[in-house]
Formats: sequence, structure tokens, C-alpha cells
Amino acid sequence: MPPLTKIEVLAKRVMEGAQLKTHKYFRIAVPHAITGQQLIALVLERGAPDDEAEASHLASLLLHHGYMFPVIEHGQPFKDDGTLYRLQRPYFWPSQAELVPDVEYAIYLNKRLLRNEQKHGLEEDEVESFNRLADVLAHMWAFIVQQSELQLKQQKEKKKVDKVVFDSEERAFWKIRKPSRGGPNFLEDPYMKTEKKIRRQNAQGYRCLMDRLRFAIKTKPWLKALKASDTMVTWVDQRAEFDPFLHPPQPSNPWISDEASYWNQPTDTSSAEIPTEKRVKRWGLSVQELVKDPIGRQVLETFLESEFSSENIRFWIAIQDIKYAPNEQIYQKAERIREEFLAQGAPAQVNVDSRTLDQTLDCISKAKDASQMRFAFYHSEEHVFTLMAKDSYPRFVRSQIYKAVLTAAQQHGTKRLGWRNFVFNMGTTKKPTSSKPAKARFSRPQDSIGTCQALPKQLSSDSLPVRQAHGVKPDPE
Amino acid sequence: MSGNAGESSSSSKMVENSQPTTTEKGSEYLEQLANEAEELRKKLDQERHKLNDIPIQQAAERLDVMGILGVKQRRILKGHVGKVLCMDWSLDKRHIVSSSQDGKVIVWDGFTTNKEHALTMPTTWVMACAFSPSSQMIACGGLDNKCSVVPLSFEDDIIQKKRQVATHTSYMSCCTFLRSDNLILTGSGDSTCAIWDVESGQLIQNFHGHTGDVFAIDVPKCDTGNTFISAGADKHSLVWDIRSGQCVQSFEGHEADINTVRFHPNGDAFATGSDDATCRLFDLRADRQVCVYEKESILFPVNGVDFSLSGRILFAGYGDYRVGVWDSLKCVRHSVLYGHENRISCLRTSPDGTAVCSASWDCTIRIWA
Repeated sequence: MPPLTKIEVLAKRVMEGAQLKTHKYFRIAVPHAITGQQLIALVLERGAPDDEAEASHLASLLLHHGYMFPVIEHGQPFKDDGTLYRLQRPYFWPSQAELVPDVEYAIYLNKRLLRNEQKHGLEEDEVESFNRLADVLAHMWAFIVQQSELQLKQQKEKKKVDKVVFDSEERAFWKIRKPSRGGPNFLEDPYMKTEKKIRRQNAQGYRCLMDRLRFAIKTKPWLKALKASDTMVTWVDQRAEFDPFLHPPQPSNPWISDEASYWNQPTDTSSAEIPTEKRVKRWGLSVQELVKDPIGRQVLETFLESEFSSENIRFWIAIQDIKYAPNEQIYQKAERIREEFLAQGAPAQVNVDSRTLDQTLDCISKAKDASQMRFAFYHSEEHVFTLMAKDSYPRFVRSQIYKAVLTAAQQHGTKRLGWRNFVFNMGTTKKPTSSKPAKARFSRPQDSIGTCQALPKQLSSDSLPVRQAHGVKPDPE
Repeated sequence: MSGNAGESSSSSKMVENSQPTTTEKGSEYLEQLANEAEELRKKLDQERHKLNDIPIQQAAERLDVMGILGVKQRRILKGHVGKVLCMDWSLDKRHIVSSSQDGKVIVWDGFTTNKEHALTMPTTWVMACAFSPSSQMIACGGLDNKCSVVPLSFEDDIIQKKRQVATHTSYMSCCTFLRSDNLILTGSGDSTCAIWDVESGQLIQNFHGHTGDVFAIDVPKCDTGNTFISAGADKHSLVWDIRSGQCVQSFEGHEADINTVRFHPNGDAFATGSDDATCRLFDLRADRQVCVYEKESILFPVNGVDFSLSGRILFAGYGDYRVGVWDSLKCVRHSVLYGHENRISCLRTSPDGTAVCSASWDCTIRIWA
């Protein structure tokens, strides 16, 4: 039971510091005991808890796991008053007796039956256990009886005080080991811990490990992330205002106020509403934040349309879709992606260099099964995402479109307009250029094609010059 | 292999077990390989050491200390009669699925605390359960070595619609849907992980490399990654490439079994919780352990960890019935949540970060906010 080793250290420290003595309980002398109050003081001193609450909790843990036990009132939670406790003899600690055979339990119960019934009589649960054991162990019952008589005889030779203390220790031990029906068993281990197996690494495993290590030594991945800690601190700090545990959300945290209105705000799928300001602000943190949000994706797509490179985001979304699609749809989806985005003269050919394109087409043609086809677009996916992240995203953040959505979100509440209206209304000062004919779109999961088709295909291009220098080809149309 | 009876071990979908090939390769050869690997590891450690990265506590000095959070128990879900072993949030941010040792799986509306579905699995120790992203389906399994999916509907008896998707050669310890209702990722006591096609039950990819039972897996929250992490009885956390099935990074440091693992919301780091009573933070890009969350007064295993939305807070559910609230950057314990009356088996932050949920052997599930 390795998890208990740490609590055993605490139990030892408490035991070393404990001053046990005979206490008076009404008119009975209770030898070898310590009060709850004293115990707390000991734990505070030796267990390094933060406060009394933690000390008290540690004391309950010692109690539950059988490192101490109440002398008089059993089954009560730990009390830090004059309640009397006894520290368990290390012989009876859980680690000393990992396996407790039924035979020993039977001897113990039989011993009690042989003694004064008023003092040592069995409880209902114990009678049941005894009867069951008598059945199961019938073949060796003579041995059990003999053993219990022998132990009793030895016990009688002890001093009275020792007898009383030992009896209580033994009883406490079995109470922890065989908790009454319905009572919690604090010593039980989960199935996976008792059954777990450690296998020896095989040769193949070692070779993989060495390849990995050699690769790490060669590439030094940590250099890329120099000041990784600093990066992480900045990342977390930027998002603190969005963290409901750190800053109460508006209007309120539903779990605290019992008001579900926080959840009834524009949800991820109802894109007609204006997203909240916080949500829009997050898009400005990184491209990952932007594409994680379905509305963010749509706004980015609108922006890319204005730059004639919306095929990039559509391609990327299509690949996210195929990566997690059911097996039987893989070939069909792969073919559609190839036709739409990669093939010679495809309607929305994405701008990947010839090497990446060849690699991808090679992967597609070589894919032996759906599993390989699923990930065949990996090279192009990475290329296009990098392109969006490094090239389009910085422009997106500075764009009129993003600013307009942000403004709309900030004014949210004064005017209940969809973000689309805002984006397109702010642009009306410049006259819309001739709109392209709506072309067949690659279908997206949970798409909102209805609204998309109503979109003007281009926004004013005065403020958003079409970039060709960056290698982003304009839409073929 | 596993101690349970009556499970066929001849399924065609079976994940092969990585057994040491002692026949062709003698133990001497293995020892030689082990030594070589050890040498490489030392060299790598030296190389890493040359780097003057700032410790995270120092980098976090510029941040304010976290104020009082006022986190309290807000809901208690009662209904299980056995130890609750696992729970998962629905993406609708209020429904919860939980599974218990007596074979029951319950779907709750956590907000109203109503039970919406309850089903009995033909096995005890249902160690894993998961909500599908669409919230239309749940997956669960455990000692039956299988992962079954059940579509949720109020019309018929849903248990009739239960379908087996995955089969391992030992108990299934953890499962999660992979970004869609179509794929499921499982981890098992047979020391492998695997991705399965939900519809057909076909094995899509399996992952060999652990030398002990896998206890936990996690998938990054952002879309861009193609990796997942797993950890378990061999004290290692392994990072896998979903596409190739290859292990691409491994992390060590824990002194005992790793019971739980969760990605940091930034996707570049992850936290683990172990039987050694510590949580640790590992950075994937820096390729190393960043922080240990430990305390002299913490004596029991960590069975569940998760981050708040920003990653600032690390919640840890312990075998000592408590939830520890850690400042993940300053690496100090901020506060403690008392309430459970037996060990915590699982802990997860809700998808929108408004609450954290813990499941316990005291048969209850509690929601804190």
C-alpha cells in the first residue's frame, strides 16, 4: 500500500511526541490515552499544516486509516476536545498487515465469543461474519478454536492495563479491516492498483526511446522555447480576465446565482447574434483563439474573402472535418477536398508550394486505408495554417472588419444587431464593388449556409488592399 | 491478463499487447540497450541544463497574488450507491455523465441536479465515461475491457441501443471522444492506447510504448494539434502523434503511478497527478518539467487535476478527500476545498470554466464555483 507511506511518517512523528497517560472518563480510569485537543496540537507541530482546519483534517485521516482510534465513542468524526484517543500499535498499522486472512479474523471473533459476553459480545455484523466464516472454514475449525484458546491463555497472563489496551487495539484494527456493512472502507484500493502490471521494456521500445532521445539532442527543442516560463506567464496573464474563477463573468456565474442567463447569451452555434466583447477580444490574442471559435472562423473567412484568399480557411476547416470524420466517409471527403482545393485548376486551389503539394498528393495516392487517408493532407494543412497565422492573421487583427466586430460587441446592448450587419454597415460609405456570383461552397459541419449566401462577397477594398505580393493568389474567379 | 472472467480474448479488434520478445533477444541485449538509453538520457539532461531558462515562479513574480476566490460547494449530486469513479462534462456546460463501481452510469443535469438517464452496465468498476462533443452520446467501460457507446434519447430504453466500439485485452481505464462523435480514444490496463471509429468499431490507430497500465489520457483543447498525452503505472507521460501512432516525447519525474493528466489551456504544457502526492507541470516546447506542486501536509495520491480557463489555477482532487486550489504559476497552494467524505476519484473543470466538478468514493459528485 505505497500511498500510505507518507501518512505513516506523520503517524510516527505524532507517536514520538505523544505523552500518553491515564485519563479519567467520568469515574473510569482510561490508561494510555490522549485527548483530541492534545492530538491537534501535536499534528500542528509535526505535520506542517497551514491552519487548524488542516490539522484537524490530518487527524481525521489518521483516524480513518487506523493509526489511532477513539477509546470510548466509536464511529464518530474526530473531535478536537477532551475526547480520548489511543494511538495504534505499529504492529496493527495497515502497512504491517496488507493481507488479513479470514482465518485470523475467525480466530479473533472466536476469541471474543469465549469471553465475557457483556464486555466482548459480538455485534450483529460480526455475528453474521462469524457464521459465514464457520461455514467456509469448517474444515479447519478445530485449529481456529485451538488457536483462540491459546491466545486467550497468553492474554490472561498480562497485566490488567496491558490487557485492556491490547483488546482495544485489536478491536480497532478489525473495525478498520472489516468495516460494518454500508460503512466506508478507507483501506480499499481501486481495482487498477491491485491488478496493475509493469512490463519490461522490449528491444523495440528501447530503440524508439533512443531514437527519440537522439532526435531531442540533435534538434534541441528547448532552445526554441527559451524563456518558456515567461511565455506561459504572459499567456495566462492575458487570459485572466476571461477566467470565471478570477473575474466574475457577466451577468453572473450560473452556479453561484442560479441564473442560467450567462449560458443563454449567444452560444457557439447561433452566429446571428453579436458575440460578447470578451469573446471578440480573445480573437485578438492568437490565431488559435480565433479559429477555435465558430463565429471567429466566420469572421476570419469574411476577412479572407476580402483578400481573395478565403479558400485557405475553408481548406483548413475541411481538413479538420476529415481528420475526425467517420471511417466510411473518408474517401468521399478526401476526393472532394482534392477536387476543390488541390487538383490542377481546382475551383478554389490553395496556395501551397509545389513540394508540399506533391507530398500531399503522394500521401493521398499512397494511402492504403481510411486511417492513412484521414491524415494524408497533413503537409498542406500545416503549410496553409502557417500561412494564415503568419500572413493573414496579423492583417486580420488590424483590419476594419475585426475592429468593426469589436466595436459592435462593445456597443452590444445599445443596438441588437448581428455582427454581420455591423461589419457590412460600417462599410457602406465605400460603395460595394461588384459582387461575385455565389459559388458552390465546400460544405462545413454545422454550416450556416443560409446566412452565408446572403453575405456580400467583398468588402471595401480601399482599406483592405488585396495582397498579391505575399503569395496569396487571388481567388480564380 | 486481467482478473475478470468471461471476456473473450479472441476479438478481431483486439489491441495487440506489447510483450517483451525474450526468445530472440536475450536479457543481456536488453540490458545493453537500457544502458545506452540511460547514457543518452544523461547527455540530454546535461544539454538541457546548459540552458538558462527562468524558473516559472520567478517569471510569475510580476503577477499579483491571487485574491480570495470564494469558491464553495454549489451543487451535490446524490444518486449513486457505489463509489463514483469517473465523470465528464457535456459541452453544453451543465450536463454531466458519471460512472460508478457498482456498474451504474448516470447522466445528470448538474444545474438542476436532476438525473436524466441511468443505465446499468453488465460489469462492475465502470472506470471511464465520456460525453460526446454533440452531447448526443456517451461512452463508458471498465472491467469489461470494452468501450461502449450509448446514444441518448428520451424515447426508448437507451441501454438497448448500447454498442461496443472498442476492445482491449485488459480493463479500459479512460476514454474520450476525439473532437467529434466519430472517433474515440481509449487507454487501457493492457498498456496501450487506441483510436476507434465509433460507427464501425474499426481500430484506426494504436499506440504502444507504455510499459505499465495506462491510467489517463488527454487531448489538447485547441484544434491545431495532432497529439495527445497518456500516463500511467510506468510513471511516464508520453506524447503521441495521432497520425503515425509514434511516441514523440516522453516526460518523467514522478516517483509513483501517474493517475491523471490534463493539458494546460495553452496546449503547450500539461499537468499530472500521482500516487507520490504531487502534481507536476511539464512544458512540451521546453521539453522538461517546469514545476512540482507539493506540500508536507499533503500525504495522499492525486486522482484528478484540471486547470481554470486561463490556466492560472490548478485544481487537484486528492485521495485525502480534499480539492487543492493551486496557483499554477507561483506554485503555491492557494486554498483547500473541504466537503467530500472519502477519496476523490476524478476532477474536471466545466467547458466554459465556470465551475469545477469532483467525483468521489463517498458516492457523491460535487460542483464547486
